[in-house]
Amino acid sequence: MTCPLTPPVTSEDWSAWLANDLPEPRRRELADHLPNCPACQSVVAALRHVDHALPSLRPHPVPSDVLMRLRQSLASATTPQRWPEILTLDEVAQLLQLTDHELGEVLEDLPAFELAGQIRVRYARLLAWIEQRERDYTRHRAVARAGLSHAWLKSESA
Amino acid sequence: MADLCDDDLWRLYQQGDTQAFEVLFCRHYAAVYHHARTMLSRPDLAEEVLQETFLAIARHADSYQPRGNGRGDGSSGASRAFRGWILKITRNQCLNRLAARKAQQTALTLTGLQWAEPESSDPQPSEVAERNEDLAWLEQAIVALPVDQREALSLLIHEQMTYPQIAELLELPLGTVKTLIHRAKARLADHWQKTPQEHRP
Repeated sequence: MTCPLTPPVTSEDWSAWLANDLPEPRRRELADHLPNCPACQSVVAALRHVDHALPSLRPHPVPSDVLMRLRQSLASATTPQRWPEILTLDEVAQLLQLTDHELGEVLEDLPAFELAGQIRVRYARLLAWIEQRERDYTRHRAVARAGLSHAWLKSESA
Repeated sequence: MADLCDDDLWRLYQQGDTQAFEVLFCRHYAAVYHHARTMLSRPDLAEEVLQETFLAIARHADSYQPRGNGRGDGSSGASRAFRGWILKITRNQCLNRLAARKAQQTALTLTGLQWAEPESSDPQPSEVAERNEDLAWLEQAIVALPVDQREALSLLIHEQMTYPQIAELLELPLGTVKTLIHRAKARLADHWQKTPQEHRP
């Protein structure tokens, strides 16, 4: 059973018609067509059923163990630290939770500048730098995972 | 405190009130998890996104600026702007993961191997049955939709957002949002029509 019009009225058209999202000439055209087309009546009935069923869908519940884990990790993070706009290296180390030695290892990469002979880092630029490193790390991890899967599959097939 | 609006709670949190954050968390965690689950179709990844979204907002207390004069918008409960901000962060976290998944798929394709989705993909049949037996067909059909259609439909149904609000969150033209939603509903209706009578609720 198909709509005899050329081109046929699509389910997408009927969904837009039901939601009153069609411009007037098209809306009237479809309204006139519907009583004479069993195929389209069947589509509209199915769409009405979907529209009726969708609001009854409940959201995915959060498992209680997930919630418990999340509360634990949030507990340590929810005290907002007020950082100045310009950070000293000591403050950078504290913010990044690095030792002096570890800080020395990333010092060259930091978005730092010199002010009166002292190295300083702008807080906003440091956040952007961290986000960039997160993105790089995610990408690197994805590629590494893919490489590992490949190696594993190769060893399996061998 | 529970009757304060989101913006007022956020202001309190910015001043160091961790209880205010707890109220905000209770108000929004379910929506964040649901949105992540809708986009990623994986409970394990949705958990990751839930955690990272709230950690991100906890650590960047200055990145959302409450509106108004310090007394919120005069309403209590959840605010659309705050929810939109959290969902945008959630969405970005999901998009990063989808991009990573795509990179893995591409890497495998280049090596001539086939991508296998991890076993924990949605929907878990027993879970669906437990939650909503009569609507299992609909949940399964939604999971089969392309992610952009699934996301737009979920915002319409679960967040009860208007088309313009969805367009703003997804950074899409209004017409594209309408197309996504009608395309999604058309596919669901098609699925319903093809479902044998004996399998319909």
